[in-house]
Amino acid sequence: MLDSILNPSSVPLLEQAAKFNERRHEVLVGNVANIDTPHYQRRDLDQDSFVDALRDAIASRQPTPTRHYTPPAQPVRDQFAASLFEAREPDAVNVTFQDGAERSIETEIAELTRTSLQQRFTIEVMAAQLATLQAVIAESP
Amino acid sequence: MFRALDITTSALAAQRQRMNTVAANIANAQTTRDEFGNASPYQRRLVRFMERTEPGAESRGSGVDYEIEIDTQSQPRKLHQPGHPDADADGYVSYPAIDLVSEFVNALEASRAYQANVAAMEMSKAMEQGSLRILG
Repeated sequence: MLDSILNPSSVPLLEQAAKFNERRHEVLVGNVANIDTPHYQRRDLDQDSFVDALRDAIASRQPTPTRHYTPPAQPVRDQFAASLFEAREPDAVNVTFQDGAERSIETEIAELTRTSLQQRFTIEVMAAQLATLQAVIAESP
Repeated sequence: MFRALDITTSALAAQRQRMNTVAANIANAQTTRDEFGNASPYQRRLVRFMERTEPGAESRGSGVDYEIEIDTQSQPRKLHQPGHPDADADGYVSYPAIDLVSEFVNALEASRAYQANVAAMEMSKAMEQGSLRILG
């Protein structure tokens, strides 16, 4: 019952985005922690793949012109492969040091800030949607 | 979510230990005897960082572990000071092979890395507080 209320809204998509941001935050924090570790290769989650998956998921949720409501056949969380949330070692784009490690504290902190803001945005939108739902339940704004 | 805090904590501990070894090296820059009172100069301590290995850590973020190593390769500085109680038969006293400039640079790096991790921790905290907002 609750799933059929929540699923047509964007809450499941926001959930995936929040999960992605949280995982990416962990990975970036690991990069900062290992900034002085010899031979450590920086890791990151593949943002482009995630954005593509998000776009596909949004496209597949476009309402079909029918009289009756039909819940989506595939739950949103199945449309996001687990590999999207796994870190990989991207090709070096910054200065590479003698041990082959790529260190850039500026990049890491900037990405951390970006993830933090994206997460805040995601959470705010999700909270607003849930507040709407709560208002409907309570029959008052 | 709390994993991010664990990762940052491990790095804070490691960088603090690095700062402690630098402090010990500078404090003992003129030490000519070991803890047993024998005439052997203090040997420089180094902190070696390595990635914390946990199952499944390759696809997620990982913390940092450290080990304290003793520099046994650098040769002591020899100063001609006959009459010094620790002078050898030729009148030379062995002082620790400690270069203050390298130590200070190391201290500076440790301090900046510590600050970066504190910044990361602040962001983790902000994100967790944000997540709590969903609960209402």
